[in-house]
Amino acid sequence: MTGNGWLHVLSCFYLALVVTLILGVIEFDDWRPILSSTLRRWAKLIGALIIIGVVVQTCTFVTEKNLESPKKNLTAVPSRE
Amino acid sequence: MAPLLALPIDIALLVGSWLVPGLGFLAKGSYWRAFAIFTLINGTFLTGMFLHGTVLVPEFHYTSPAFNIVSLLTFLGQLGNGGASLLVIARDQFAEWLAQAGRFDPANAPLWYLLPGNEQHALFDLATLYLLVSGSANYFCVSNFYDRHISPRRASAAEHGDSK
Repeated sequence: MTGNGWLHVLSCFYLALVVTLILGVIEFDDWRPILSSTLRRWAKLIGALIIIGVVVQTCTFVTEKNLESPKKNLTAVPSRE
Repeated sequence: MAPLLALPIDIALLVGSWLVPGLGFLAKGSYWRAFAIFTLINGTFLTGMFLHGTVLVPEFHYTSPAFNIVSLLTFLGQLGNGGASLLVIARDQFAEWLAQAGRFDPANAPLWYLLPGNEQHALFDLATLYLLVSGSANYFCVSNFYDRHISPRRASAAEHGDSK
């Protein structure tokens, strides 16, 4: 299963490269601006994806921590003694 | 006001660009751009096929329990790479028709049934994403081909020093 996870991560890099490279190829006529725009867009896209990943992972940690804490019994009647 | 599509050849080139990525640029003499677009888009599509992906035709009737807007949008995105998607759909439909007639055995699949899709495979969703990116990228390319070579506004854009 670890292999599948790495395949997903590498696919993220590859698909981001394909999209940004195609945008560069259809926008510019010379290879130099194609290369620079591709790298700039790729870095921005991967950066945004990493930020989204960190936020999702943080939310997951918080959720798991809340699930581990003992649940309060709100319906129980407190003892008078 | 100039017509949006001046000649029948324009329509033919637009449809050709949708069916074969880069065909329109090839016809206009932009060989390196046509090669790059064809290689990137069909390479991504082929990678998705190797990962057990296929183009699934969704349920279109909105009252059906199987109707799913995400599947519908995915299908529309995948259709962007028109020729390859239509070939895969035709292959799957033909295999299904042969199976119903009792003439198709998946265990002894013929050569034309290469790279079959498998919805149960762990990588099927990833493969679907590859096909989706491939198709969506071709929509960009067809739109750019229209802007560069067919649109009546392309001449005025060139006069203003636009890089397109």
